[in-house]
Amino acid sequence: MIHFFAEWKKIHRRKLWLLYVVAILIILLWNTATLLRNPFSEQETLTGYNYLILSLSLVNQMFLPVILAACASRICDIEAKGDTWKLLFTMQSRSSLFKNKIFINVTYILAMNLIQYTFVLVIGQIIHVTQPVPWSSLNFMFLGFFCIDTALYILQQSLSLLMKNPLMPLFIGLFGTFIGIFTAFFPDLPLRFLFPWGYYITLCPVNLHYDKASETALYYLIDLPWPWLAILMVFGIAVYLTGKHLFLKKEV
Amino acid sequence: MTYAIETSGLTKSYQKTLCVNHIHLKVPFQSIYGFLGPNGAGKSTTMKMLLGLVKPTQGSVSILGKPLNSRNRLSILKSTGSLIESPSYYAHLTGRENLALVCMMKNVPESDIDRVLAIVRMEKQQNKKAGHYSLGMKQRLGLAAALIGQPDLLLLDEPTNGLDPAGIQEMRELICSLPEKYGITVMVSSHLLSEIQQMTTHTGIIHKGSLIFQGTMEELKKHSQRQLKLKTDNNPAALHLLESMGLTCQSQEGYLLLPETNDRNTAQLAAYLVENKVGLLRLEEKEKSLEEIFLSLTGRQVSL
Repeated sequence: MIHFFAEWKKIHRRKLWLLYVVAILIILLWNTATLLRNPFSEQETLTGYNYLILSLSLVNQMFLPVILAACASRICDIEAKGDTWKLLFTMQSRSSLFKNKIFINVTYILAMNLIQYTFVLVIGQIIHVTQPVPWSSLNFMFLGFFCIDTALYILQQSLSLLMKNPLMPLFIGLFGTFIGIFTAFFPDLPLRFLFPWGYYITLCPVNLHYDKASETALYYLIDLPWPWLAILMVFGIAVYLTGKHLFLKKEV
Repeated sequence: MTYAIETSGLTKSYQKTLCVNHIHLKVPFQSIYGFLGPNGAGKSTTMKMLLGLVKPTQGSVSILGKPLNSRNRLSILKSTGSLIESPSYYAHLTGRENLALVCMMKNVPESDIDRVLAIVRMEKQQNKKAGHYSLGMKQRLGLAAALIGQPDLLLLDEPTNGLDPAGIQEMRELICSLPEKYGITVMVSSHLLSEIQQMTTHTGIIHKGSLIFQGTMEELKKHSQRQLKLKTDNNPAALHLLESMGLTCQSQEGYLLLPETNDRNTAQLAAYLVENKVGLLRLEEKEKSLEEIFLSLTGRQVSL
């Protein structure tokens, strides 16, 4: 527990929280602005929650991989900059350092996901969505976001701790964002299942049918994609174990 | 006898390169042990192995009388402080905040910060961000961090690197005072013989990964082979005469060097030269300097 609090102490003045605040503000403002620009018709309020869930997944897909890369870089580069490894590892184990950095960020991730969850409920009330709250889909969205964010964060942290060039993990995060968006454009191809960055869409419990003739979009709930969530979790665990193993072996 | 640090056959190799070769270190309690060697000799790797930062390929380490292993490493290291290669610090935190972090991780009350700040004389700079410190200040901060929790053993790897002459002198005085004032055993590495000579009570010399000497400074000086050094008005004739007496001698920079002999033989030798009309201009006893001893131990090609 001491080392967990020590991690908090270390990020004092690093404004790690600011990155998460910026991320959540972008996500919420983006969605709010879209709703203000194109208010729901009476017909659309019948599937209002479905729209909100899909819209949040898309905006998360666009911003979070790179924001998580920046967060990982910010919390890891304080060690590289001050060459602290030789001091730290005489006072704590490497695995505790690896774990506690994850715990700190998971706290922020959890807070960010809870805000999004609340946002759907609150905005649904404000714009008078008539659809009953699809609790299981909404809960799955929350769980999905949490798992993707955590898995991607672990991946980025592992890269930031292991790579000498601090810019490289950021490029990988940026590349991941593009890959994620790119794969979302090809719903019929299995590409989005292959890349973890594309899982914001893969795990979205809502699908969209666009009718060209009437120029209307239908947002409908689908079966919860539990198998893909399980695959993502396996990926997250594998990245955690591999990252930790390589970090334990890293020469200082 | 137990030692503050004792290693047995400590070895580290990277692929096929042997960095540290079967080292048997013995650092007595409350000594200042100078670990001397040219750059790349294996000093830092050895010190990292002593702290468990690098896994030895072979051999064992005992710290403060306890064998070091992966299970007890952190509990043993609680009684140690270290400064390896360069000082560790968080640039965005102040000096005091950096030390508070070390206190927290070592489970030491924060009141210890004022004590260590006074020792390294940086009370006035404690509230500046560590990133804005000069290298000398960072080095002091690193030493202060190493002193948190009143360790019994301090490992300092080239602690005067990057310091100005005044800083070097200050650091030297500080290190020298630690065993007496606080009962701390200090192991300090350096590639500078003069530094080791002025600070330490015991010395270990490492060269190409092997420990080629270990003992007190007096024992190191015993390696000095005394010689007779003489200058005559006709060195070639003197050389011929001395060789005819069965003495091995060599000519060097206008002098003739002979193995040390007793007073009677020296008197006879001088008389013999004079009898054969070779004027004796100078006759002195030559003792090898520490630098020469070091060079003769490590090989002349090594520069310090």
